[in-house]
Amino acid sequence: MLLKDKFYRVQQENILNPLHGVYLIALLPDADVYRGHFPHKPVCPGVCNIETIRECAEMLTGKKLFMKTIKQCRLTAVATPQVCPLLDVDVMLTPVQDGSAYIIQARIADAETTYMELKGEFSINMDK
Amino acid sequence: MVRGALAFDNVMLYQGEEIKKLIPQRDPIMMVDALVSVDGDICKTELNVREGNFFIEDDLLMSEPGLIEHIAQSASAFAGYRCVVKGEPAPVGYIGEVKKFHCYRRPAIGDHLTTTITMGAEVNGITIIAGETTVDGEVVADTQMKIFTADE
Repeated sequence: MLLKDKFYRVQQENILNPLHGVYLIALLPDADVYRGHFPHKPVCPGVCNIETIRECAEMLTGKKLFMKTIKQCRLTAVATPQVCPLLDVDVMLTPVQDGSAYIIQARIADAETTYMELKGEFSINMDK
Repeated sequence: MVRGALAFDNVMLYQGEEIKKLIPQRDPIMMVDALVSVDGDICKTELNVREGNFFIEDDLLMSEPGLIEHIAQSASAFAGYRCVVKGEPAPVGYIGEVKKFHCYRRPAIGDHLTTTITMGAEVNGITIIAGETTVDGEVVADTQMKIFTADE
């Protein structure tokens, strides 16, 4: 995986059912990406949080998933390793009828703040 | 004086080190190589997908968020360009929302991305943009985005 153990580390997995999991992650303040985003001002790139959601969905399903569509992804607060060292990544999946993809609803938040909400369709095969 | 003092926006070119004047991102997450043209509310940018790119996965293809970041930084370069030609510093922009993103194919190492950004009007520091990325004329991704700009 692109970011697991490089940008974040999973502290705890709470698998509510095979299609719904909440991953408690720690953001790694020494992650390489902060050299460039931004120099002397570390801010989590929104796209890294999107990738983190995908990786949590892959951990939940045990499958490689492709981001076919993101219907909507709202970045509602600026996340940094200082502001939110620990985050809950809540991933809920609904299989589409032919079994080729999942509808995903995900949220990244801590006790006080929601940082990201995402709705999309992640496919099991890139070609579908 | 800044290069933007030239009269012909459509022949403007920022590449290599010059692109750093337009965007605040730095290595390892610089995802635009060049701003190749600006014409009114539309610009074109380019990126060569190289080995070692931050978003290249184990299967040697680019992760979809890499395409989102490339499109966001393309819009950022466009916004930066508009400031630089006025003699102002390039703004720092944050993605506020990604909407209707589609990935049709993940780019591979060696692919040459060409992206067209259409910039909407700015309202209260929020700009809506549309981006489309192609490789050899084939659309690999498209999206809409809301971008927040911070004045610092």
